[in-house]
Amino acid sequence: MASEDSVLQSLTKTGTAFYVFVLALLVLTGEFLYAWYTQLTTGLIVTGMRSIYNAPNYMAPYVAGGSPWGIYITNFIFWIGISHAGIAISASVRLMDLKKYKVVARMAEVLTLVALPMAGLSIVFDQGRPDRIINLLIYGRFQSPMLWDLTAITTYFMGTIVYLYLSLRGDIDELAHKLPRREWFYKRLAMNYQGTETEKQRHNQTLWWLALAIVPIMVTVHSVVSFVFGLMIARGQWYSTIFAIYFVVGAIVSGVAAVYSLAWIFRWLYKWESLITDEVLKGISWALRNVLIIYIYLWIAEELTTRYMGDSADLRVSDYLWFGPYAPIFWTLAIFGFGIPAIILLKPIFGKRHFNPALTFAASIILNVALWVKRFTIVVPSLLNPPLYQTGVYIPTPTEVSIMLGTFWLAALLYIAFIKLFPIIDLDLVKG
Amino acid sequence: MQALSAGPQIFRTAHANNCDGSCGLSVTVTDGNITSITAADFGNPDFPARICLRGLSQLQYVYHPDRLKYPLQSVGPRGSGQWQQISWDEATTIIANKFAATAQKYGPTSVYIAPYTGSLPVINGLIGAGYRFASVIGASAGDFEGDNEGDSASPCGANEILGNFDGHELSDLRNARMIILWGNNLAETDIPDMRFVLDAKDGTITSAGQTTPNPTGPGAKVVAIDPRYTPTATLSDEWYPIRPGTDGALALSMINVIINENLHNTSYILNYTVGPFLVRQDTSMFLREKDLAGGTSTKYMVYDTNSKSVVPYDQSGITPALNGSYTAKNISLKPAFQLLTDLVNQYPPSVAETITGIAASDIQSLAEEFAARSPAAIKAGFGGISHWYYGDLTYRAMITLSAICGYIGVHGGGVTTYNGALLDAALDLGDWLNPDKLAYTYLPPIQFCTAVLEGKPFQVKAAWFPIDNFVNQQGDTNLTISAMQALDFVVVSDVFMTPTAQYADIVLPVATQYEREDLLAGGNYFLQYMPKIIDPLWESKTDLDMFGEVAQKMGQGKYFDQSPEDYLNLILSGLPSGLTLDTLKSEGVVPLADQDYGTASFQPITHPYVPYYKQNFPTPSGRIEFYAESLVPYNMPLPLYKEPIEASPTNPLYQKYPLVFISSHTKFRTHTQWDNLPWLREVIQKPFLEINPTDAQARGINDGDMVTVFNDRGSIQVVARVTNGIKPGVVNSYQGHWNNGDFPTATVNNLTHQKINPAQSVVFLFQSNTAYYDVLVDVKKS
Amino acid sequence: MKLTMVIDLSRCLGCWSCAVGCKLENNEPIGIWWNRILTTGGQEPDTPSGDYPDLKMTYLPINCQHCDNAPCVKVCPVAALTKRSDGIVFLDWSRCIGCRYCLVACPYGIPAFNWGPPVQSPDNSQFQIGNPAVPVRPVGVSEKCTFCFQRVDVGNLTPKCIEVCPAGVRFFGDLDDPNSQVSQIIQTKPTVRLREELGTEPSVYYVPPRNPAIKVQVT
Repeated sequence: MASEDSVLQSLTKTGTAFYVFVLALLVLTGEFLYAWYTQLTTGLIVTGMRSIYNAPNYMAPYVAGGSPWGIYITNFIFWIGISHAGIAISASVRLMDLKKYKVVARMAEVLTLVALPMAGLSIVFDQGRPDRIINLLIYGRFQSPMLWDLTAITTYFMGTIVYLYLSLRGDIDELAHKLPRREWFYKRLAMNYQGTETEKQRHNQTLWWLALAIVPIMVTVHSVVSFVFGLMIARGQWYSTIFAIYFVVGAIVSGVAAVYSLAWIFRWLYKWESLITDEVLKGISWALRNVLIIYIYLWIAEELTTRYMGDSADLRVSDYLWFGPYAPIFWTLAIFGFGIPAIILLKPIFGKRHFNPALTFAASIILNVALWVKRFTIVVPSLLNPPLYQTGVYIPTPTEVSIMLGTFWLAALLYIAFIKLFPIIDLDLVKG
Repeated sequence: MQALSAGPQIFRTAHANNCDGSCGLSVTVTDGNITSITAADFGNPDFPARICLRGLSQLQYVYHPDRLKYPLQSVGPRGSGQWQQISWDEATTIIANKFAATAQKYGPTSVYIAPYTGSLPVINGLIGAGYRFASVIGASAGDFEGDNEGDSASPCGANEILGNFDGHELSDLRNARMIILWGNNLAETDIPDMRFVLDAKDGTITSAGQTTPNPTGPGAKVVAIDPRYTPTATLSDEWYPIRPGTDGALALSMINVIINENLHNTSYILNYTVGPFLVRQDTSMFLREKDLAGGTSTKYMVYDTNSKSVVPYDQSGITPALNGSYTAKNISLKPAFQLLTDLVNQYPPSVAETITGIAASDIQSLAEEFAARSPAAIKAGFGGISHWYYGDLTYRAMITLSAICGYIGVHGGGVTTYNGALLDAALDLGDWLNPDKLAYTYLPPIQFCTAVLEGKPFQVKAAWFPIDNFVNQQGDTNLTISAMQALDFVVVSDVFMTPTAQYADIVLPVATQYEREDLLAGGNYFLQYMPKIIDPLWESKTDLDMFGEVAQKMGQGKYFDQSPEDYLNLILSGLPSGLTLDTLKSEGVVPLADQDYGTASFQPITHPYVPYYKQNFPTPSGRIEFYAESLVPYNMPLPLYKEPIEASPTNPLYQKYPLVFISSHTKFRTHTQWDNLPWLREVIQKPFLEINPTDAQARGINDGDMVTVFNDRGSIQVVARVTNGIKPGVVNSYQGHWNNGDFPTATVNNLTHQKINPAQSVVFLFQSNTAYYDVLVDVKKS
Repeated sequence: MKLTMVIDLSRCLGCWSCAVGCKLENNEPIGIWWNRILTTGGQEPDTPSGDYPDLKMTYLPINCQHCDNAPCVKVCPVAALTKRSDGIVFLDWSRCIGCRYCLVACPYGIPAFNWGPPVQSPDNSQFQIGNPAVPVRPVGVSEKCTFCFQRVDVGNLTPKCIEVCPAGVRFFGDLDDPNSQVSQIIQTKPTVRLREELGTEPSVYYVPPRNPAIKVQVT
């Protein structure tokens, strides 16, 4: 049984590797900030995105246009997907009383808390006039799916931050004793936490109801993200009734895979095999496998609907992916991006000894990369194949990629900041 | 011209670039800057206001950052692009001295002034100050129709058969029951007049945002004859993809069908053509009364079927024969119409099918419909018809076709290439172009290179090119450049540093039409006043001013010491009904066809204007001379069909270069003008070669590949546009492109030639045709 | 008032005059066209479909359709796009945040976007061209045809494109007025609207093109 000190390693121990890692992240963040500055001063022309009809430029090949949305929007969907980590675990733990997974609950919730602002940041990157973002609040119109996004995501974020704080409060108070040098910080943050049984009882009850409330919010969040696309009659392969559940299931896959990845990383980093046991990992991978199967099933249903007797707009986009310029991306995605993780995840069905945590970790990483690319293939090909015009071209520029990657560097920095300040595993689990 | 009391002012002017549209422009000026343009009214409900994309882009022309600002002197080898700025005084002094020195050494005609059609108004343009200057210094000059644009052959042919070159006001097309757009892409080259074709087709009268049925319009069938499937063809009822250059054979075959099916208008032929006039089979000349009876009477003779004798044509009560063979005084005789019949009988539809590639049954039905749908109009293109070596023969055949159906000089009929050609004749330009009866010596532009390089017909050593992108547009660019290099001294005045200006010793910046006062007469039957709207930009000057300054330094300043208004008054003074400049200024636009403003040679008496309305033809016989004596020395008194001089499968060169290269006109330029306007460039993007998939595949060429088009004279490198819209065996690249960094060798005239047709010298003013389309090439992937 | 436009495809020459006129009137920057001419035919502009000589080509001028059921109006998160009572779908450039949802939602691919700082030609450093009642748009906002609101609002029911079309192709007016030119054309001729099956209820009607009889040649 690991000790409390073991869990507090992340706060107390800071090795060279850590400094090198953080330094690298800061350098990359610097590059990201510079790229963003370029975009803010010049405009979105520094990206590879262009209008549906892009006037031919003199001497350029006749291209009908480009894609008005690209990797920023893809990145937004991706981070929203990742954000489903938190509540997926917390809900299981609290509502279904699966105490086994409490050990990974907090790291999942922190992931959500970091992911949601990254999603918001991706959207800010994408606006032509970020200086007018306030208009969303002043003039926001609820007929627009984007406003649903704004509302749902904000609510989800608020809910999660309250949830995390309440579940963290006890540990904060604990840390006030354990790390006297930082007492001033933790004491204030604990906000007169007494640590009595009634207080803990009230916390647990609140947290239970909060978890219950957040579940539908979670479903709503990715549903409204899907509605941004799924309600568009104009675009091929978007206008689909199952988009909401398709996206939500995809988000759960993302979230659960991310939790597995984090759990495995922390286990490896801090040698927490006794805390984050094989059983726990196996459980997570079991959940991952099940949602992945559902996701693949929904994907097949979408493809079949188009290819069987789809209308020309849908078939044109599908052809572009199956046989056209995006075919190498699409088939690599399907076969390697999803096929290999599926095989890895399905293997343990045939006996417990087949469960390989490290291999499953690889599968979880591949899955999230694959899901990023999958969302890209949803957003961009349809925009590149507008009815009435020729097929367009979209190639993200280095500046654009730097800006997008900025969300990853920032996410890493924020996460590292958290684990330097707070225990990533609930201290209740390691107290004597 | 109206001016609002405050804020923007609106001026009416005309678009006087090299375009048959000659649209009225309504120009908005705010605080001394041109801020908008739209179409200006003509004050005539049948002739609506019109404008096209080129007129609408004019702001980019006037305010282009590349406009020449100051006079420049070349400081490197010719064509090297090294310049130094000099003052106007220095520039005009140099020019005056150089011209004087050249004239002294080689004679005054060794100085050649070449104003051309880049600008059409009377003072600073085509018939303007450049010629006046040439006259007063005794220089040689190109004539406005002896052009280097291949626009001479059709006028030459028209002169040969009708006595002059004139056309119907194009709104007259609404009166036609059939319109043949023959070698003509109106929808790109004369966009505003396409309205009349569409109105004829739909039976409507349209103007901006309005359409009403035309109560008197009969509705017309529209036929396009063109090797390319142009926007014009796509709006026509029928499209005939003809082998380029064989239009004469088609016309002769149609005449064949009409004559053999007895659909021709016999009484018209008898009364208004030379049809019944007897032709001597020994001399090929018309039989004259004195040939039989002695004496001096040169009356034409006919065979009277009543009295069965040869009598003078104007004898009363006779019924002249159109056919047959006769003898009188041992001279074998045939009526001209019989000779025509003999000629066309060599071209039945089956033969014409082999030549033209159009099915015999189609030729048959086309001819029958042309005769039946009376009146039928032919709108011919300069490009498709005149840009050929034998263009005059083709045009004569087409006019003959119209004549035998009785369609000449009637509403809804005729053969029209250009309308408004005679408007200039309405004005008395004699005193303007030839003050004190001084006259320049005419040198056809196509003889320029020979004059420079070989001294024939006389030596040319110095030249001034105003309004003329000669190096870009003359045939055989390599030959043209070698002539430019051989000149001692070259002046170019222009708005931009054109490829021609690159070869100058002195370059002078010209004020655009919006920066000077002038008058436009041409393109339609309206006189349009052109006010000075803004001040000349930078140090640019008008043609009048710059020629005046040089003339002054050459001692002839007195011919240029008056204002533009004075000269306009001079020009208008020739009109008999006394239209004054003040009236013209206050009206802005004055229709000539309605008013009796014509001179003796220009009598518009009907509206819309129809030439030869009174069936008076200024030919030697006073009739339509489909048989012309002037061409007997060249063995072509009749409109024979001859294979193109180069672009023919009968040419041995065809084995080496099996593709016919035509260089048609794009809607995104007016010849070379507007090539550098950003909006138009945004759409046209790049120079390309239209090539049929069959020809492309045979050469391994895909759409978008860079290709080299080449023959023995030169080559160009452009992008391939593989399209089914062009006949196999024919390729096309739009003319007028300026070479630039991305496409340094794309000027189509690297491939064309300067072959002169000597037969066309029978018409003095129209002997300078350049057969731009009569060219063979091959294409390969670059 | 129900402002409506009619475009007669049986007459359109594909000359781009309406597009260039619009560009002038509204001072559109390089790279942006509110009104474009599509070639219905081959892959390249001005080329036909079909195999020689059985060819077909028509031109399709397309601008904002000012739909009654406009997807762009529905999706705009800040209500920068609104449907006016006279039928114009108007984009308020001062409110647009540049999210480009309207570009994504429009079935006709109409809205254009200022990806970079707009460059007009002639540039606006000395003076503004076109109609001064049309504001210059900054970087980062969308823009599209307004049915020339600046003219409609002063009682002039002739947008620039109708004014400059040289061939009698374009018509504009109030569909609620049975005597207007557009009402008369729509009543007397068969007209179609683009992608009608989507239910957007566009305000632009097209008179269909006529197909020319093709002459099949022998050699």
